Amino acid sequence: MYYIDPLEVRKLTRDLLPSSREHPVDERLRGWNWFQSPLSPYSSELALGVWEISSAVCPTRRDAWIRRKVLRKSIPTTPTLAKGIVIHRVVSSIFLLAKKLAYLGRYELRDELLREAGRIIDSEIASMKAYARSLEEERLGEFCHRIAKWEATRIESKLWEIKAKYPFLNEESLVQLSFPFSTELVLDGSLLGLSKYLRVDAAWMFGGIIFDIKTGWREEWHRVQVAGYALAFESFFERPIDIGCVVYVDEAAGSLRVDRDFFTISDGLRASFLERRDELQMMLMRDEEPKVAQRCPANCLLREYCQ
Amino acid sequence: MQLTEYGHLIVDELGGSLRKRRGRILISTRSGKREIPIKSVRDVIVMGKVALTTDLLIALAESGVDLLIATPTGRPVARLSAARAGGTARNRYEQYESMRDRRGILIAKSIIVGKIRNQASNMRYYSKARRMDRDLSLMFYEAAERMKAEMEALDGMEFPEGSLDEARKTMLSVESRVADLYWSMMRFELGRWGFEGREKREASDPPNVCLNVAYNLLSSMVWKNVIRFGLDPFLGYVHVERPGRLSLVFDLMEPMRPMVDRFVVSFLRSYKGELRGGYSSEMIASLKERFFSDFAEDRVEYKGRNLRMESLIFFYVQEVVSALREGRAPTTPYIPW
Ligand code: SF4
Repeated sequence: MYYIDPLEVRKLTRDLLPSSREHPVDERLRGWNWFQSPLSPYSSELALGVWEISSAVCPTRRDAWIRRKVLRKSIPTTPTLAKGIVIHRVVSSIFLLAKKLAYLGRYELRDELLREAGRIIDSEIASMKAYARSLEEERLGEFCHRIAKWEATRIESKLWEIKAKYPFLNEESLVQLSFPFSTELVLDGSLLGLSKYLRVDAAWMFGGIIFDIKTGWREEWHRVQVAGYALAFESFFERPIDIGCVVYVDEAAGSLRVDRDFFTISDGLRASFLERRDELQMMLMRDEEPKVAQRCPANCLLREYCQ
Repeated sequence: MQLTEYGHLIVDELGGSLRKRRGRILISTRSGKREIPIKSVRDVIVMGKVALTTDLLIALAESGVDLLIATPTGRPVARLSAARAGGTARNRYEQYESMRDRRGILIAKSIIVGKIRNQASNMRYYSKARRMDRDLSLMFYEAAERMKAEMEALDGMEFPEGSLDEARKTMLSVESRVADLYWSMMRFELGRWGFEGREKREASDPPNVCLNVAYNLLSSMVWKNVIRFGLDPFLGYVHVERPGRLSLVFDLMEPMRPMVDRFVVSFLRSYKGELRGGYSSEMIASLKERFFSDFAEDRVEYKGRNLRMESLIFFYVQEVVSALREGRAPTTPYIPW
């Protein structure tokens, strides 16, 4: 998911990175300015999730209200989001195991990774089914297996590629070069009124890129979500993040389509995230129950708690 | 006299002369002489009293450098531009025609909606800046919400074709309601320097004086582009025509006024001089300098591009022209934070 192909490298080096340098982000919108307006949150206690803030699925944000005030648990709003969570967990577990095995000096990983993926897929779908009854488990299971196969193959080949190029590397260096990104990066977002345990799908270690996996249609809020993680990263590490990438993974004619959307994390995206954060914080702080939306997505999973 | 990094030559001396010397502007003032290549100047803004030679005026016009004569408080008085600049009859024709059809209403509405959107954005900004004072922060937030509701209601209103005069009345009543709320809240930001309410003429408190000067400077930036695109500066959509009034210029600067307001607050906060006794000429001089060095250089994202304020105004006027030609509402500049 996170290995960049040569075409993407060219796009990054010739287009996005120069343009982000030419039009730098407004300093006031960098995460490290968390202590002043517009970055500062209304409340540092009311810790929100980045996904919860950015998601524009429910038009009135009543979904967030139901999760926070009624159910008191984190339930996805639509089956597409539920599906995304399962895919995300499968991918992250594959990377975790791959790194562990590589540290142990094992390089023939594919079969073992697939066995682990199978286990994760079954347990994740079973637990997600509790919220999303309409989830087509068989189809999703098969789709996840395809993703796992694709990812495991890529990891194994990457490892061998590095090993063949630098035969005398020790395990530590080999892992660094084979996995040039941190997966499941945990960030404390509390300076920005965000959760203490934010988990970023992946962050490119050297170039300041943040990745997020999604499935389904491209939506504007996907980029806003990445901007939220970038702000949290900047507030935590005091290092700039200028580029974001949403990795879209979907079914395609019995196979798989993986599409990466690279973009600069502009002032507009940052401002949009902050505006949503403030609105949500204010709504919850003022205890204002949002109205039932007039046009809800047909498959909203919170419908039964909503009316 | 000051030459900004982006080529604004501001001449505010009392006494002296500007003349041409071998492709350069020779400036002689009491403090000495200076030569500046015409190539490195984008516009000349004369706010003081100096003599100018016709040789220089011709050279400026031929090099596409605008010359603006303004009062010491920045109010534009006259402009010299090349005879061929703004020679687009089509834009002017469309502008006149649009007064009678739905385009005029769309443009007027976009201007008022755009202005309120930016005013609400300022309220949100100050709400956060004042978050330590919970009640005040909430007041700002609620003002922003009320403005947003007014803006959305206005945005959703439909006016019949050809009813610009009627529509204008409705829009202006919304605008003035919002302005009352907005300026009553801005007192919390500006009150410490003697601001009691918005005063357009005969203001003597530093905030109003600064606002007037900065709006004047903004109007000259808009004016330049209105001429550049061949539009008639006297025919406005929101501001009605009155002899000598630059109605279209005043229209198109409306959405940007809240950006100026924010600049003025930050200028007053950081101003080191004395303000308690009212305004001073040092304050105005410093404001003008900061207007060109800070405000004009500030970047705002507009239609996917991160633009300096000057370019933003160019693209905004261009957008109005495209909207006129395509029969749609123009996108107004927005400060989202
Ligand atoms: S049913 Fe509608 S209002 Fe309720 S949470 Fe879902 S989308 Fe929101």
